[in-house]
Amino acid sequence: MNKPLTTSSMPLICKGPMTDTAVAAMARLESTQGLDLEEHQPLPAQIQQWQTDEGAKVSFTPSHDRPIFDLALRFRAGSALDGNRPGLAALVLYSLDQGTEGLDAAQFAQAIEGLGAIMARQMNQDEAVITLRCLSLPALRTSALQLLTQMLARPAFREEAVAGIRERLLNYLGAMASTPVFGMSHATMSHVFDGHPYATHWAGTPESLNQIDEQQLRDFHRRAYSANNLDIGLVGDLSRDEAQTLITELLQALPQHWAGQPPPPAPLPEALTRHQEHTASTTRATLTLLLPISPDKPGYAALTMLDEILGSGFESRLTQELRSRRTLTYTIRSSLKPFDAASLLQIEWDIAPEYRDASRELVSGMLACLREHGPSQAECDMACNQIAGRLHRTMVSNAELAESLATSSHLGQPADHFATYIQSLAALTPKDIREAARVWLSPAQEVFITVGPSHAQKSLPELS
Amino acid sequence: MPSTPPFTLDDKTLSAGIESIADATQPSLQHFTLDNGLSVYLREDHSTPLAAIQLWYHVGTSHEPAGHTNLSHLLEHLIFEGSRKLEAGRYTQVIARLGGEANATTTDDATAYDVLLPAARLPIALEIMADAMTGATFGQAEMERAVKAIEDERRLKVENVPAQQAAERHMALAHGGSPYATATFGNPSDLSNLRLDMVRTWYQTWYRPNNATLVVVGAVDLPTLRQHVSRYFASIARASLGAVPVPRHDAHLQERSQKLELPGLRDGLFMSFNVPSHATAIDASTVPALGLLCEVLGKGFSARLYSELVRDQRLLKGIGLSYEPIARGDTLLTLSTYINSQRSTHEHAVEAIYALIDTLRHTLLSPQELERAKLRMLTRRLFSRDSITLQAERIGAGAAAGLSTSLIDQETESVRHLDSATLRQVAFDYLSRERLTITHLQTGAAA
Repeated sequence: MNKPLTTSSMPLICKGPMTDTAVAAMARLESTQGLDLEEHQPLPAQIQQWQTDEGAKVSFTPSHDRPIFDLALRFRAGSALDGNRPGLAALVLYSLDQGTEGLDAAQFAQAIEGLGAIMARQMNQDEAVITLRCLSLPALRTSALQLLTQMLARPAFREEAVAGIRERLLNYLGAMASTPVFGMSHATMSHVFDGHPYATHWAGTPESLNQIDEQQLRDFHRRAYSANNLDIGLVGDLSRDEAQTLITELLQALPQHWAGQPPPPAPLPEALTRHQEHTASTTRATLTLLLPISPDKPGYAALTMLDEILGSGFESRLTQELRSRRTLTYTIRSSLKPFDAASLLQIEWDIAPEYRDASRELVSGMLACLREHGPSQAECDMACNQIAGRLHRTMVSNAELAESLATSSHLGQPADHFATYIQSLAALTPKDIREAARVWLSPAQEVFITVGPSHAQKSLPELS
Repeated sequence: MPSTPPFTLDDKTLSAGIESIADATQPSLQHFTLDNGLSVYLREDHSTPLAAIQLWYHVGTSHEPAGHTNLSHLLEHLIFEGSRKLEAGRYTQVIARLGGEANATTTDDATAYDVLLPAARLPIALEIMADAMTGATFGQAEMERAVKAIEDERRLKVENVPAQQAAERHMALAHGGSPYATATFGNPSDLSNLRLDMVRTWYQTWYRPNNATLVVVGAVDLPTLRQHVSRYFASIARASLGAVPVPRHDAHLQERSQKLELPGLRDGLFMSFNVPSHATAIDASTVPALGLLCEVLGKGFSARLYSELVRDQRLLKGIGLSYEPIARGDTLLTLSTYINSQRSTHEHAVEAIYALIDTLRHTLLSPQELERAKLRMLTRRLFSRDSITLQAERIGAGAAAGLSTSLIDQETESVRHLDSATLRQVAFDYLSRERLTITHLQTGAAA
């Protein structure tokens, strides 16, 4: 955007506060006397890592508080591997539990849920993740793993069952096409990753879904569900030996000796401003930046801090500016979405239709502020504590921790990653973060996509 | 179809599974009450370094008089706009600076303030919450901003979401004359008519220690908790509270239905049965039986409705069943689904769904299906203990509903002992057509 900022769209928060207003406020409380604010609560998880004979990487944390375990299996089996058959990875993943050699879909569901176990799956461009929660009682966990082994190693791909999944994926694509807000994320992905495998929706296209045959499903499964294409997170009421035994049969039964290659790097996108008209009471807006970096790279920590300061929580700049001080929106937040080929920094908000453009000007101006001035030390301290808190909250939940461990394993992070993570963030200075803003928040590639009613655009209300 | 017999779990393993859940006891719920009436619950959980701290005021949207909807929700926003010790915005900021998270929710029965933070910081959360109970400083300017925030929230969550508008109109029809018929967002025109003095009166009337329950779940011990709670809350005065009528359903129920056509709405159904809650059920087995019926019908991929109508016949695109028995009045068991219009009309879907429900009213479950459903339900309960926030919410909501919290500790036992005959009887009594409200959701032409 070349035109100068209208005065009403100038950020109120451009430099971070020089004093820590939260700490100043605490001085008025009795309960904070003698409090050591530098003290970070240590992260409890003891992570054990090993690689199995079949090549799977395992991260395991024992947790004996409840008689349960959580298993997360992350295969590099996302839609980036679809090749010229969009939807192939999705059709394979969602057909896995629709029948094995010995059981049809109904029998499989009854058998696994009859154990009280919960199996779930999800996928994106990079990965297919299968999770299992189950009681750790030996007879139950052994049965659950036998079923999971049948499902992952010996899926039947019977025609009728696959047809059911195909129909559901087509319905999903249809709903997305007819509901603009639902389709926003895909609109962004297809522009930002234009020319890259990520540009195609993970659920594929109707034309392609209708053409995929059984042999293609089998071929994809035989490669992508290989034991050495797999990262495992395991948390629960198990000893190390029990953990190893639990997954051995599964790993031996899986296809072997194939590993997916990382996707090609993504080129920087062209800037874009696109509005899609849609009858609604509010406009939904997303501003996206592609960052050619992934979480295993050194600069990512500064980016995490930058995202936190910009818009990750209630105390972040975006919420304070657009919600607390200007009451323009109910929700505005930024988030970092890491993919193997690149990461996205995405800002999402809702806005009255007449302020669509002015609010974008304001948000872009706030990115410019961070490039120019960076954050203050007080903002860094706040961000670091917020990230530490979120990490603690993730670790409370075995299920979330198991998924985090699988992701962390995929990224090749060491066993002490979580334990040292907060210190590495705390060591970053405001200057480091300003540098990160200058490197990554390039105004030349802002992708701005909105959905909402067409409306004559106005300047933001002047603040009294 | 494959010829191998289905994988079956022997009865011994099945009951061992249920036993292992029953044995996974937690430290019992500890309780004390201050002289001013503040009721305090503690569930010690040292598996985490965090503590969930929640203050539940026993006042929510169902307490609001006609014409004054939104009072509770508006007040919830204003509590963060400053108190004697902290200026506007500092409540959440201080908690965030300590690595915690502060939030608040308004429901039918309660207004709840929750904080999740490192357990060692417990006293700070208590001091802030106590200051907010008695020293909120909001004035006209803060009120105008809060009204604007709620309008924005409404625009985003209701006006922009056709399914939410449909859900509100469905609830209104299903609840009939009960105060639960009013949605949390109430009537938008009431919001602009509320005056500052009304909100302050609401605050002074209901935000009293004897109308509140404090719940702590996490790495905290009772003597520490008692010491800090006394220090910050003991000086707050109690007040006399008016009686509040229990929300009841109409005495004579009959089947109700409506068709809603809105732009952007997908073809679907809401189907609700008028059922009792823990507070209004006459028989102690009714609530656990309704919960187990939900499990059999609609939870997971092996549940009857999902198996038959989503996976096998593909009449429906998905199905959800909800029944929240922690309420002070009569409640609903609600089914929501999107219809696969290429294969079914609304009417056909209703009849197919009700036929499966009706089967449970006339036929006994096999012992094996019954035990499996129990294992699934109890395992899910055990899984949910992962979240100390969720644990605290159940205790707080129970207190706000006027329930004995021993219900929570007895839940496993009450499910374990259900038999098929009870289940059939409860289905017969409560899943009948005259208790049913149906809303047809239909795609409307764009405005």
